[in-house]
Amino acid sequence: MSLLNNILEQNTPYELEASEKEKKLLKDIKKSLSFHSKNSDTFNNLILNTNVLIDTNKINQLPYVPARLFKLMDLKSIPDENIFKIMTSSGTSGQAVSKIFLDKESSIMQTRVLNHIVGSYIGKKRRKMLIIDSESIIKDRKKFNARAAGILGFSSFGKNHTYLLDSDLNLDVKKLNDTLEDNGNNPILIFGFTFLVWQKFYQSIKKLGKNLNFPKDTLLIHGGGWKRMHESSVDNTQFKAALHEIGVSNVHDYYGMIEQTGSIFVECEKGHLHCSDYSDVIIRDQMTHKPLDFNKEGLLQVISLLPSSYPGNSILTEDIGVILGEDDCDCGRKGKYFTISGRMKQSEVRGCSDTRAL
Amino acid sequence: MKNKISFITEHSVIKSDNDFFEHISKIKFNDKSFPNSDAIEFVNQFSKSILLDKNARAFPELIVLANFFKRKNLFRNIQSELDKNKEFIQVPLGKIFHIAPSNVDTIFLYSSLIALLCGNICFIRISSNQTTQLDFVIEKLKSTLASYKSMKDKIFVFTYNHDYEITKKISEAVQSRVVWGGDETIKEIRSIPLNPLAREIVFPNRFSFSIIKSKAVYENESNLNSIIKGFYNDTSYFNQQACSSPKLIIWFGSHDDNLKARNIFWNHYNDYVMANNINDDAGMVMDRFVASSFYAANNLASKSNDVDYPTKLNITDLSSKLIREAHPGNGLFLELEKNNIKDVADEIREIDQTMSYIGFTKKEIVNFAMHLTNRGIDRIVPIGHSLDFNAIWDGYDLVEQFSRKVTID
Repeated sequence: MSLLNNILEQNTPYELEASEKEKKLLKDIKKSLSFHSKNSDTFNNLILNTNVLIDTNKINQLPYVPARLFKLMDLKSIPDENIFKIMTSSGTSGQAVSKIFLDKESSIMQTRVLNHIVGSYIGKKRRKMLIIDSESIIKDRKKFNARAAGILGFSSFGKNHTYLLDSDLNLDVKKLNDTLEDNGNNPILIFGFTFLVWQKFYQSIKKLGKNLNFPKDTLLIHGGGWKRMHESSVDNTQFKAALHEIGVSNVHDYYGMIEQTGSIFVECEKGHLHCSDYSDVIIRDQMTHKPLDFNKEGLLQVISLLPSSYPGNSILTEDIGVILGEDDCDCGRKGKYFTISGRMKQSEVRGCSDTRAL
Repeated sequence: MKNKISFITEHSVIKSDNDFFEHISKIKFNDKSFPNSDAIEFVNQFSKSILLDKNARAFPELIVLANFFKRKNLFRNIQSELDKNKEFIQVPLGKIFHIAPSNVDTIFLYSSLIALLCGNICFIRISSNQTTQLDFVIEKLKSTLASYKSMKDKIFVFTYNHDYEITKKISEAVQSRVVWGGDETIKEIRSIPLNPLAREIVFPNRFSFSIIKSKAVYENESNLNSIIKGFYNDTSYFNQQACSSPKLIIWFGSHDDNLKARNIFWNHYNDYVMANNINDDAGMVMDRFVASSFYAANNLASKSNDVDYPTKLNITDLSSKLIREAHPGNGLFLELEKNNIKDVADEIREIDQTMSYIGFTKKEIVNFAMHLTNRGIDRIVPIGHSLDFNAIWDGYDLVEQFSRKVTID
């Protein structure tokens, strides 16, 4: 049986210890990369034209694809007739977006892995769910982007979904009050993108000036990045404190990317993002791209067992992070744990023209 | 109505966008001197103010610009045009609309200043993106304008977010439009109508490369320093992103010759880079890695995971459009080996602008250029001169473009 299926059988996806994880993960990632190189000409070109081997003995020697490459070309290892869904990143207009090609099998596996990871935080019982977004975003299937994918992916953890923002992304206060009243004391699950949770949910409630009664054990899962939060100078500690203040006691950030949907990194009770058994991270020096030790800040490379329809198992992101340790987080979960401190600073556009191909 | 145009230079009579449109259309053109002596004084003073400011050292590209526009050079560039004029009078074209690229480099100033020298009135739209370099230039422009009152009505620098109507209104009132920008910007602006009598000059994306005769490198190793310094200047200013900066070297010789020369050349280059701080940064490193990966995935080049400055990639063929489009500058060098200069001719594309060289005779080069079968190549210069501006650029003679001739029989 594959490692992926083995992990799915485990109670939690945080059990593999360092001594066995690298060996097991490496074996299956290599298998997957070999599959991609046999089935994707572009990926095969990339491997053959780069002085690297898929068959290595260390996980940090595996070939890695720059995340930006998914914006520049179609990378897929399935025939066109097997494409079940194409997911795109949520770029602002005019920017290139990443395109990720899924077949039915990989789409199902993404959901199963996501359920396994998130389920380990919120339990098996489905809760009443509040979504800090507008329902319109998931209705337009033509614009099926990362935000919509996130909402749909997380929807299965709750029941009686209520979308709390109107189409202009403003908080519908009446809807929120009515929902809380109807729900009584049952624990609820709140999901949303970090900046929407902050700007549209927290700040609107704060403005109301009165306390809302969120049931005890209410749990918020949020993700999508801190870029816009840093612009308003709010860090994770402040964010959590603010949400505690309005009665949301459990707050979990998650880090994930469209290129590795499913095997996300969830923030534990101690404030650390965790690799699950499905994934691993490596930090690389920004100037040399050489691997760095724990506690050194650099570019984050993400490794996932999941991608089977496109060569996304080993990706060099443009996010900056620090690995804090492995297997010894006070929360008890095994695996590497880390934090993200921001985005890499992009190069300056210079010269006579104002656009650039890459 | 809310005004969308904000002026950077001071124009007390203009209080609104409409005032401005009206002002442009009503300008009387009574000074037909060519070249314009007030403008010569002004541009000279502007250049001096840059050269005399210690802070300008942070912007080597500006020093090059200021040196270009110092008085002595100016006369050489424009006076020569005058001498030829016998059967006609050459006069300024009139009102010229300059659209600078949305990044903030100052290359667009070359064409704007030449237009001024030719006696024209310049309307210059710059991007609202601010950098210390642009701020510096604007500050010098304003302080120089303060002591040249007669020039105040000849230079209008302003900014507005891309707006079809504004661009159209200005375009209808001018005699020429000059656009610097990426291909997409140029296409977009070209779709906005001009006055039927107006001209248009565009500076779209271009690609540039160097050709080196390998023998010339290893037979002159002792004299290589000036060439290396020149190549460094060609490629480090503007982080190799200027359209005339070489992004590719074609080596000519037998494989052994090329190997030998490349070794010597890059060793010297690396030494020079070590001795002079190159502004490499994480973003540039990532750009090199992404582009290398893109080339490799498209089977256009072989690479390693090495992302050092410079990153070098071997290519075997220059004909692909992607090779040129995907190049980010930022310290990435493509290398190609050829036996003979004639072997490259078929791989030159229209987008190719500057070809810088070492080791070739003028005759060889001219022969090569004359046998190209498309519009490729607008400049051929020795290595070290790729970024030297010339009043003839991208095939346009700018002095001709910014003036007109009234024939007299």
